[in-house]
Amino acid sequence: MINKVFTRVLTIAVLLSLVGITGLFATGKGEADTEKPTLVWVTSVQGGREPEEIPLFEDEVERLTGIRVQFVKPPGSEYNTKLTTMLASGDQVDIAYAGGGTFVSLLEQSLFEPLTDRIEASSVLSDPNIIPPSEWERVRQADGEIYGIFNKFEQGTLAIIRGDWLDKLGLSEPQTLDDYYDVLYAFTFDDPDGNGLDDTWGMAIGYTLYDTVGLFGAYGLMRGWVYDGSGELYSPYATDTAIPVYEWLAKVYADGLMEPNFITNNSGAFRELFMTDKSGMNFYWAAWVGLYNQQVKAENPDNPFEARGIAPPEGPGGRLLKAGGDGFMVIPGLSEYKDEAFKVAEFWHTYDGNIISTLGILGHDYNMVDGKYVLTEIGEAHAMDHGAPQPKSLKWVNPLGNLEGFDDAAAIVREYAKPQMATAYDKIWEDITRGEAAKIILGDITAAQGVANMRSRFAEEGIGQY
Amino acid sequence: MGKNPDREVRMSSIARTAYRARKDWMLYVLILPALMYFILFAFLPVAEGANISFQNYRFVGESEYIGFQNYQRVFETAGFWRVFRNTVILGFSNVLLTAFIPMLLALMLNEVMFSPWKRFVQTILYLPHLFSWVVVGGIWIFILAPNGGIVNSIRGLFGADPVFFLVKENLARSLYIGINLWKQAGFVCILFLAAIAGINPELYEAAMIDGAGGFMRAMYITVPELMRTLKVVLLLNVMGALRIFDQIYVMRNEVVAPKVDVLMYYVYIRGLEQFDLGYASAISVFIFLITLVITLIARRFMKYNV
Repeated sequence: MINKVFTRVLTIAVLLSLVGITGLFATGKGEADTEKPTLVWVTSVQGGREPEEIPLFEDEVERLTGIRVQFVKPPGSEYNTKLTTMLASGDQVDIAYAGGGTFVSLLEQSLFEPLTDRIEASSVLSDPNIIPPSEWERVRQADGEIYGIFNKFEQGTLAIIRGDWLDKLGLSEPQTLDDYYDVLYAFTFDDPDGNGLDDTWGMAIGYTLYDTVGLFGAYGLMRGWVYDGSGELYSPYATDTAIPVYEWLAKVYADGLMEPNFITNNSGAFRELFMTDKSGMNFYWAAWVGLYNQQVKAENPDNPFEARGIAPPEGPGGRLLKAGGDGFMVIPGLSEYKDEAFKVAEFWHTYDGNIISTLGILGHDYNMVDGKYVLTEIGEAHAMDHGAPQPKSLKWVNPLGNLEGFDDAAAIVREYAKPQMATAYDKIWEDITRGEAAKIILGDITAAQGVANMRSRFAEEGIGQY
Repeated sequence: MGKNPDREVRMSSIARTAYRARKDWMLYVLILPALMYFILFAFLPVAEGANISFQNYRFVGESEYIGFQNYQRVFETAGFWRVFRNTVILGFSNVLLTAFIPMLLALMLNEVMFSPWKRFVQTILYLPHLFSWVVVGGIWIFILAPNGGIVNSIRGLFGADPVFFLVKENLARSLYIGINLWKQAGFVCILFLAAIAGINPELYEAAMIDGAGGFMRAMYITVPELMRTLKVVLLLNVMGALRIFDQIYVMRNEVVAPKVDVLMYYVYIRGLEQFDLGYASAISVFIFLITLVITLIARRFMKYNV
């Protein structure tokens, strides 16, 4: 009898719960309709630097634009998955950050709102003193439309060297691949840090080849995919022209001048080696010249450490560096708040937008003292990077000046860098090229075998013409 | 269940079902939440995945139905068969090793009479299971790194050159299988130890009276009594054999990728990196069907009746 009563009570409870759940769904939707819209901004780069800073950043955007935003900021490694899942499942996304292959692939899915008319009608974005018309033309798609608004000046990558080690050993800046080898040799074996121990490497890199475009550039070879004269994709790194560069890298490794974790290092690992006197060279973004100097000096102002960007080696193909691929703010076609989303993206390129994207949040990252910008301790730690450390706007002048060494590095990038073409096959390129390159560098196969393997594996995947 | 079995026997099967539904309606209501959960979060996604596999799928707008073209593309891609082969090798090595080696460990641990030592070993064995693959991957990358890794540091003490274990193609599969065993063995071992604890002690006493030694008792009492647990473990392992992902996602690198990339990782890259969802769904359906067939065969073969 007790069991029967208990079962009946439980049954009624389950039924009521089901009714309740249904009611909750209905109520939730009704309430949402009456609230002021909150834009969902999915990004891996813009916004607060720490999770606790994100709500402050949302408030600051609202203070400056009058529009409420909510940031969704997944970790970089999961960003594509999160963004794709949100878009595919119809979740609210009003502004999304997309760059490289992600932008290309999602564009092919017709997911983005064309923004051409809005950009042309915008007094900010159509101002040639802010963004040159040639830049918009460069990103105009085959259908004549523009689908993304630039996030920042993307800079580029270059060789960053320990300038103080160079001076201490009486070396001059290397100009050719042979010079680069000599400098790496001295950094490895001539005790550049003066501690009497054999504990330094010439260079430390990560992800196998990241980002050694400057080395391949000596033979005129660009990273990733390139269209040949007949309009077919091919990989310059998989051509026989690249063989001398792989042989150079293999020699550097075999002679012990390269830190051996080069395949499994992430960027944090090789940055750490550089800042802790373990390696004398790495290849990274120009902005990091300034950031290296700032971070090491913040720890110990008397440290002789000097990060310096240097020109890429000159070779038969001249000199070449990689400019950063464009990262865009896009507005999904399904967004219900396209006007508001565009206003926020437009704001990003105003002076106030440049300030928030660099210095950060008033009262948190910086204060105004006697009409001047003064970074707080938190602001110092955030190194003037809240999504666009170098804004795209030509009008932008950082009121606090740039970090030590950055201007020279940026000048080198501007002189030699070209953007890498983004395709939907970039991930496959990375996998195959890095895999075979690693085997060459480790000495497991010859450079000729390696590039032949790359070509056959690309053909196996049905990509490119060989 | 029924109070009147004779009446039920006389009914046709449809009438019998209707009769039971009327009589036990409250029980059916009680299973509704669980049923709804499975329909919403398991069956419907599988059905939708199968639907997408026949489409040139687009996130927005109309997706065109293209018949079996996605499946044709899957089977014609050399890369797919490479990862399929890797999955079979890694998956079924894991199935066997993470069943039999933990059973062996459990048998050995069962012979340890000093309880504190036994508990200590059990804890050490179980500990890796508590870590996520992200942590496990990080630990092994650290252990095996050529610069500063524990193994190479020890080798260095004896004057040996560092070896970059994680990028040795010929070692890759063995290494991944071994690390998976290291992570899972403790958990499975505990299942076997629990089963051993449930064996009737009178069987051992009788065997001892008959003069059976420790080895004979283990072979003729413990092992046969563990067969039901072994079947469960094997069946669970078989069901997960083709779904390896976390370990590969965390630990792979481009050098060993041709030897260790597996189907689920391939689906992830094709679906969420290249947005080729029709193609990725076709592979997923293929994995689902193969897993179903293998599981049914395994059940039949093992006469699973637990």
